[in-house]
Amino acid sequence: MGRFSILSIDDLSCEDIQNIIDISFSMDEVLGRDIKKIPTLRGKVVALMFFEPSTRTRISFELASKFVSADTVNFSTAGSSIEKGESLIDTIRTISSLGVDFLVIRHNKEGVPHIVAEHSDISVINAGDGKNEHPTQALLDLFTMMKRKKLKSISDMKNLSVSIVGDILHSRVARSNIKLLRKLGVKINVVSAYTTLPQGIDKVFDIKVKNFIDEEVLESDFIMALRLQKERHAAVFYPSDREFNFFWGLKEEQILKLKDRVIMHPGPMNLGVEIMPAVAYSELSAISEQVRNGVAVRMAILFYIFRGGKIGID
Amino acid sequence: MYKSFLVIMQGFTSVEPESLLIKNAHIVDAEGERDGDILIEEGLIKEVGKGLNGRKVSKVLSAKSLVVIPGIIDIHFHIREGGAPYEEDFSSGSKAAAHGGITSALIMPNTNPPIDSPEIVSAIRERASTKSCIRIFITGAATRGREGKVITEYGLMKKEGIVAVSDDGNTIKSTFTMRKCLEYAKTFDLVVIEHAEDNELSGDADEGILTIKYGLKPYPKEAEEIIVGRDVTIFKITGGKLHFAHISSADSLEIIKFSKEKIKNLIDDNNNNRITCDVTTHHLLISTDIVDIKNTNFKVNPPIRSEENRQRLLEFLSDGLIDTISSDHAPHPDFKKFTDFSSAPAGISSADIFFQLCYKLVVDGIISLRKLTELISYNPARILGLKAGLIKEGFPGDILIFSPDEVIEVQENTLFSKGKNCCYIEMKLKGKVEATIVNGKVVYSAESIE
Repeated sequence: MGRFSILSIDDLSCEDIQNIIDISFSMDEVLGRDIKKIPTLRGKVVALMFFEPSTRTRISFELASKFVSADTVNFSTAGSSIEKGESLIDTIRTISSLGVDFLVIRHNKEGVPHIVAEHSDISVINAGDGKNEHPTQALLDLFTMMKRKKLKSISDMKNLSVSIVGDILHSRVARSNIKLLRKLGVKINVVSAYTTLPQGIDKVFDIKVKNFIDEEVLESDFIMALRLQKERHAAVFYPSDREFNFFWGLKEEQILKLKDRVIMHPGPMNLGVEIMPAVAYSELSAISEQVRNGVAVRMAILFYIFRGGKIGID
Repeated sequence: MYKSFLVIMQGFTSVEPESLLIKNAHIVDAEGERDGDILIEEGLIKEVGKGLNGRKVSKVLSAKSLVVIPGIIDIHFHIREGGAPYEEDFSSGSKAAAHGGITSALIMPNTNPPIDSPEIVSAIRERASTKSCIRIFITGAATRGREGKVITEYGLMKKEGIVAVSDDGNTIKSTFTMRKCLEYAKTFDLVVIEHAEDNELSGDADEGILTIKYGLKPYPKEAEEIIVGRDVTIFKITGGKLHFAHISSADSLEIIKFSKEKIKNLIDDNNNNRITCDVTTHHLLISTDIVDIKNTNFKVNPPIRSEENRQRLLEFLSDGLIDTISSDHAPHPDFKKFTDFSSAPAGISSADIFFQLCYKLVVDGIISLRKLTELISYNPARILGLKAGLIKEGFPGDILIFSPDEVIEVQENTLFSKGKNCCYIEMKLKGKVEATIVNGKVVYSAESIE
């Protein structure tokens, strides 16, 4: 493996996390400027390789790259050499030879970014690998939480609690968030039917497992709804949208009476299924902030990797 | 979370709670035997003891020289409400049940249409609440259309009144779907009732003497054992509450025995993980030795097994491995049964004489009466999580009063069931039901006790 890559939350130290958050605050300030651009990565090339459909993550990375002045190149499997039968590793080697500096990769198989990083000397950023991880989403979620709670130091997160509701089994967002938040000592509840709950997850991550949204869940500082991933599995995990909504959906009558809570969702939302529109668009909702913060955090990640894991902004 | 949950746990019946005093009863239930009076007020047993007075009750029954046991809770019962006029409905089915001493019945979802949505559960509940003279508990289909593919809305169906899920009549064929059914049912604390039949192996008659002599399509008991073995293996991953319906093979029980031992470490304080099973009266009382293939009323699924197998079932019954005895009351109109053995629909109408069939096990010296009441009242209540099945303060006023020595002769015209497909016609059985009481009300009585 060549340079600094971000493949899994497991690879990040608390120092890395704090540094990325610190830089994210600076990038957030850049995003507030009239001219949202810093010259740091001028002359660098970011390749966006999305082997799985994505809108917000791809555009978020593309904008983040442009705002730090990197050039971007998009790669899609349709019409590519992959379709002509080239192996994944050879494709990566080719891209590497073309002079790409950063590879942002999303793939529907777990561990692909890790293999790619192993076999190239490009910095690889995992933009979601199957059901495994989505580390930049977890970092932007953390940044969103800290901004909402007006925290600067990740050590202040340890007194807070997060409940993650929905399909845990298929969720890379849940896995990355749980790993990241547990590193910081955040108390976590996961709320799911047994059909989408990995057995033994409570012991592996030292978190609490619940089947339904109860008082303790509603008392958490952050309540995160997960997307019911209809495209990823047949209806054998949940029978219907209405049943999911009845038992696991975030509904106005439960949520809107709460004070000082933050509602989150990684998007894209199935409105009326895991979250009701009135909740998604309420004062408690940080969902649109998550999207905006995603750009800042990804700028920070590109910056941090470019600096070889050292802090300091020009 | 479930606003009507307490109501669901009392079952659905048209019988309003009443008050009643039963005098001079010889009481037998799972907790033992004693003599005394039973005072029922507003449908609940208020007091059990000597010399109770019933100033407040309008009705007093004398149970002198009779035996009083808890009403039967039958965990496997077919009512085809909403079907054609000749099909069993709540009115005829519940009368047959009361005649046979049954005060609560868990009905199966393999109706047409199947009970596979909250809307249908609600309709069934409403009909049971206006037409049934016994308590009805509802099983929802485990998968949509009982097709074994998509799980049904267990949560919303539970809100409407189900206590269990099952694709009865079918095995949940996909191992993956079975896993998800167990997991989803565990989420809502529902029992999964499995009809264990590998339908690629099953046929019309027990593989053995009948298939050798008459060439009927064999239904080896292994067709059941394969699914039982598969399910207890899946259960090791999921836990939950798994109940095997109408087990016919003694070797299936060997597998269940082995698994019950294995899962002991899975059992938690809340009793959230457990495997249970029922065996029907016909598998306990009849063997292929007496099956007449010209009489399609002997055709049942799973089929009647060999005498050697039956003897082993009886051993397991006295050993306590069988959790409960069911009727698997499956009424069919005569014209459907009036055909050859392999074309006839499977099922025996037995609700009307269910108590006598069970009591035969006591008469034959297989089990004690105390043990019988445990098997047909106390255990099924525990399987379904009901506070019922004992004659005790605070329990429902559901009672069966019978004369132990009086003999009845089974005749078609004595059956309240619309299904006359009873293979016990002309049989003489001991233990006449004198009165069946639901919610403190006498819902069936022989003339002699009035």
